[in-house]
Amino acid sequence: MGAAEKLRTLAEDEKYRKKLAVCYQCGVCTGGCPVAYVKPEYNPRRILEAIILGQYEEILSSDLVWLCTSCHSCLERCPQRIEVSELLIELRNLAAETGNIPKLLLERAKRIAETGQSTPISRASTVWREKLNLAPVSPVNVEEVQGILQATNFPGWIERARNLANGARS
Amino acid sequence: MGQEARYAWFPGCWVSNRMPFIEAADRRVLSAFGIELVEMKDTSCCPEPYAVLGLGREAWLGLAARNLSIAEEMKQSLLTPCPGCYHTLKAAQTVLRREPAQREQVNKLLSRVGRQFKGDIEVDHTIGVLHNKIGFEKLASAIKYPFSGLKVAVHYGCHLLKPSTVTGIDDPERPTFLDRLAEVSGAESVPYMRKMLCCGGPISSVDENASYAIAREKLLKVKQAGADCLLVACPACLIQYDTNQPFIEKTFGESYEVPVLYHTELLCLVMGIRLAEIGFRHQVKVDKILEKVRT
Repeated sequence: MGAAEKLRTLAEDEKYRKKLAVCYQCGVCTGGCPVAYVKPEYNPRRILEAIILGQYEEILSSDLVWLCTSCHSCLERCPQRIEVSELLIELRNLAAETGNIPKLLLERAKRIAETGQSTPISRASTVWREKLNLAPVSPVNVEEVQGILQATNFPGWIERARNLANGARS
Repeated sequence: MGQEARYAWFPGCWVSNRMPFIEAADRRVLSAFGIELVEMKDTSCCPEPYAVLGLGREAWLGLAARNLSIAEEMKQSLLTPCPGCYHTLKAAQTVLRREPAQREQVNKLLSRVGRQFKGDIEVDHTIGVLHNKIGFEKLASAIKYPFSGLKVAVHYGCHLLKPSTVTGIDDPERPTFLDRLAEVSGAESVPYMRKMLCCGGPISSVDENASYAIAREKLLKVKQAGADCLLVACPACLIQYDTNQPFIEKTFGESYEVPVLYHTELLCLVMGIRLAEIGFRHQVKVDKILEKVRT
């Protein structure tokens, strides 16, 4: 099943359909959104509206789903208790599946998959810690980390997005 | 203070490898109150909620459960100074305790590497320990050199507070712990607009301009309120407001000169621990703050 189909299934799922159906487009999510304040193109209310209207492919191919900071203000404030920011995480997961992943995030994801850390231990960090009398950081068990990641879709999605990006360049 | 004074310490990638001076401050403060931190071995990134959770929830949950299982093996509750790690580990733990199907699925993943998630330890943040376990009375008694006339704008950030069903450290919209901490230190917590605004940091690698514009909004309001500094409790907020402040100034052609302090750095100052001792390394000069420590 493609990502857009998965989003359709999700949106039509009893659990989500009920939630989305109660959105009356009041825009509280957007009024309190730090990103919408500085970048009006990003509008959580409109993203919800697009799901309700079934514009699945448009949402998943858009950069907008990646602009949420996950501050969760919308989730706290929604009068209908729609978990907007959690829904956005689901949208990002589905967008990732189609290869829609911003370049720098992709690099970070790859780094975590390779080293197990977002900022890996370095010679500089080791020396700095010594100077501060802090114990050395225990090395990451990368084998275990990769053993877990390989059983999920994570490395495949990184690979796919990288191939798409390379294809777009050539 | 509660029974527990020993924790499995999970500083996270940023604090360990990018800003160890924060760990130095945390350790000095926690040890002054008899909190013992035990090193964790083999841990990975929490994993962070943007590049990992954003790409694949299953991978995020699997790595978080693995980190939790390491603390479980140590039979110690886990303590982290990073709200990002706190949010990830607490959210993963919450869902794995509540949903048997997800737990079974994650344990299938973990069994590949000989591990298991049991859910029998707690996850806490330094703020939770300072404020709920040690408490303000005890904190106040440790303050030797209180501030005099220092005006502080406190910034709560997001992930210690929200989603409130997961984190539960304080009221998600009207928290008080940092205001009280500022007051205990002898400073005045000044009211200012946009106190609950996100720092914008998480999207810096997706849209740097939008990320900086969000931080700019906060820095302008802090300056307008006449605060001497901004007080934060999160390494990511510290990077955004301090490390990135010169870039934000350059982007918008403005000057803010807002010094930023991390909550345990503030405590070190008033407990008589010099910044040089904790290897303090910030971008924006903090001379204005130091002048106001009563010695």
